[in-house]
Amino acid sequence: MNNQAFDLLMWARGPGFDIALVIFFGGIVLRVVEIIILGRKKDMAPAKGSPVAQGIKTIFSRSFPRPGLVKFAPITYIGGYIFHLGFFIAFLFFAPHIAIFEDAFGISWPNAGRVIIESATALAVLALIALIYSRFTDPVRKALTTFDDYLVLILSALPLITGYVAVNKLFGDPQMMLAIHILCVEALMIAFPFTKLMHAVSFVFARYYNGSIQGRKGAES
Amino acid sequence: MNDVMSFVATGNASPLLHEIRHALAQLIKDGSENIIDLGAIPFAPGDDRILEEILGTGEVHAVLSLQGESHVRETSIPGVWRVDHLDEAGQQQSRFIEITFMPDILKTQREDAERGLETLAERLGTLDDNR
Amino acid sequence: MANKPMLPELMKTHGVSRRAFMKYCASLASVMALSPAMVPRIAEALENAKRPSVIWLSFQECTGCTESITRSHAPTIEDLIFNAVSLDYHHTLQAASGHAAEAAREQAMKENYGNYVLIVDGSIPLDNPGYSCIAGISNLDMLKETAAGAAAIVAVGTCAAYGGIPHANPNPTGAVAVSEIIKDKPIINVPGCPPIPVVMTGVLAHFLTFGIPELDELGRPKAFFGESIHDRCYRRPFYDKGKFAESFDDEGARGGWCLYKLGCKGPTTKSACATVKWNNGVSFPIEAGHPCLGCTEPDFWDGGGFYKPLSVPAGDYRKMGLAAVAGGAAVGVASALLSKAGKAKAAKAHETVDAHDLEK
Repeated sequence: MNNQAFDLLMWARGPGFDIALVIFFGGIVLRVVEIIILGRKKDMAPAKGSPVAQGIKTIFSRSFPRPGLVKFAPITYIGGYIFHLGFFIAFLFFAPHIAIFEDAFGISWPNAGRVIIESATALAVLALIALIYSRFTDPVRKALTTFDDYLVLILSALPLITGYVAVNKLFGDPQMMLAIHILCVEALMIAFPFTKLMHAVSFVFARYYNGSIQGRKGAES
Repeated sequence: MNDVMSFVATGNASPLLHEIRHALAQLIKDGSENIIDLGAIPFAPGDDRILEEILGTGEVHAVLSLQGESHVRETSIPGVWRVDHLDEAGQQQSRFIEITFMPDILKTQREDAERGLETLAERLGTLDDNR
Repeated sequence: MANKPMLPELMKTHGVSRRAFMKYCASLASVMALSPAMVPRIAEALENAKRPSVIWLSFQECTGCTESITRSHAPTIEDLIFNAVSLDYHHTLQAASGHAAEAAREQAMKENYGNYVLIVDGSIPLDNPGYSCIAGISNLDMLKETAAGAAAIVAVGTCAAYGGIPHANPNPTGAVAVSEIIKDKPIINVPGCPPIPVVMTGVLAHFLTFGIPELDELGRPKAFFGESIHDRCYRRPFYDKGKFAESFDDEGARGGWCLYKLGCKGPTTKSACATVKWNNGVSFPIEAGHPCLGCTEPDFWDGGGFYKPLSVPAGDYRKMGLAAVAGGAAVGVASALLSKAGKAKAAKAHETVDAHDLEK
């Protein structure tokens, strides 16, 4: 007799993960290499400021919004922060996830208790709901939104929701819910290199380029 | 370690104690008895400690030799009894809380009394023969 | 002799008082997760239970299940029931051997046709039925023949219930579970490697008195296999607080912390080990410091490894990852150089770019 939930779980932990990993890493490396090799058009004018230093500074300074922007688009900024922080806390500080890094790279770090993890997860999901709501209701944003945007929002929400359900055994067979959670993560990994999720990697380049261009001109960034 | 473990609690002690209180009220009102199986609820050493503190020890402690020992104790709350069954090796087999005027297992069972009558008759027969 | 009410007589012979019998019924109800209110019914059912004929077939097994079920340390009423069933055929426990043994089996089957209980441990090889034979009869044939006249079948141990270790990768004998072969009889699966003794006798006691217990979707009695180890584990508070043992015998392990990171399969395993425990309630693997293997679940041998945490991928993903990075880099270089060549060509041909091109 087979337990279908177990078979699905072992597929998700086996071939499923392999496929997702290949696409994830392969895709990211491919695009990063393209970015680096394609480079930028050389600016022949003499530099007024320091491009490299400002480029690097901008990578970090862009993590904080310019004055007035939060008031201008509160849901985007506050929701964005809460989502990212919540997602990273739930992902990086839950012990079973740390076990994955330990198995892959041999490194590990302290974990957080379930209360923190669950609060972070819940807040992240609420933030996502707020973000998707603002996309629908604001006419300008709605006009700008593409399929990519909706897809990424949903794919980011699914691991959070399914993880919460699986750990708390809210419903369903435990093995099946764990399998579904892992499959949702794999879907996120597969979509990563083809969608705007790449921002997680390309933000470094984007911020550096912007900073160095302005720095070379002697302008603020 | 035991001290630490005795503070690991599931929070089930309090609802259980309220259930006992309710059952005791029923017993007094109309004589209806209640048995609660402690094995059916997740109970950690911390919950046991709370139970001990609140119920305490009473006036009666009966030790039964029944394929392993069984301990029938009235707690310091009359009407609330603890029945703990151990197996032949002294390991815990099952634990109950009985809210009753007299736990059934203390009473002599009719079938046993019938067998007792046969045994007594036999022994008296031997006694008379040997006179 | 089968089919006589067995208990009252047995109790008399062994000097077991009715009071002791009541104690047994109370404990049995507790173990079967039945309410104390059911005790009088259990007592009545046990008193009236008839002594059935039981045929125990052992196929591709290690005899661990037999070892487990016979681990009653001293005469208990469970022991009485188990010993009091008319165990008409059992390789390890029977006195007869050779033709006499097979004759005993055939006679029991004939005399009790339609009413005997068939207990099976071990899996059945299908690749070549000749891999496992008893008295020249293949397991497959003996199972089909004996099942035909059985009232019900109890598949004891993970091998009989789901295939067990012979069924694990690469399954060289084509081993299958009883339920893959017999489709027309009620089958109770009592998995475990081995199952807990009191679970086996409890299921038998339930079957003898009340008939087939309520089963889950994998055919296991819900009374014993309804809860996961994780939900009943005494180390659960440590899991919730995020306190895990990182390796065997480290500080966390000695402090009794959760064994998730050591590969514990408790969250996905349904079994009674955490409440009923082993050796009559002494302990169970997690309490002894070893992560749960998940041995009551099908294919637990192929679950990625006993020491690999549930969250960790089970395949050989490191190689795949490295290959992906190398491949991605190679394709990235090729694609970038191609784009650069295209750009150079376009510049040479003085091609223009407008807004629509940017959308491509």
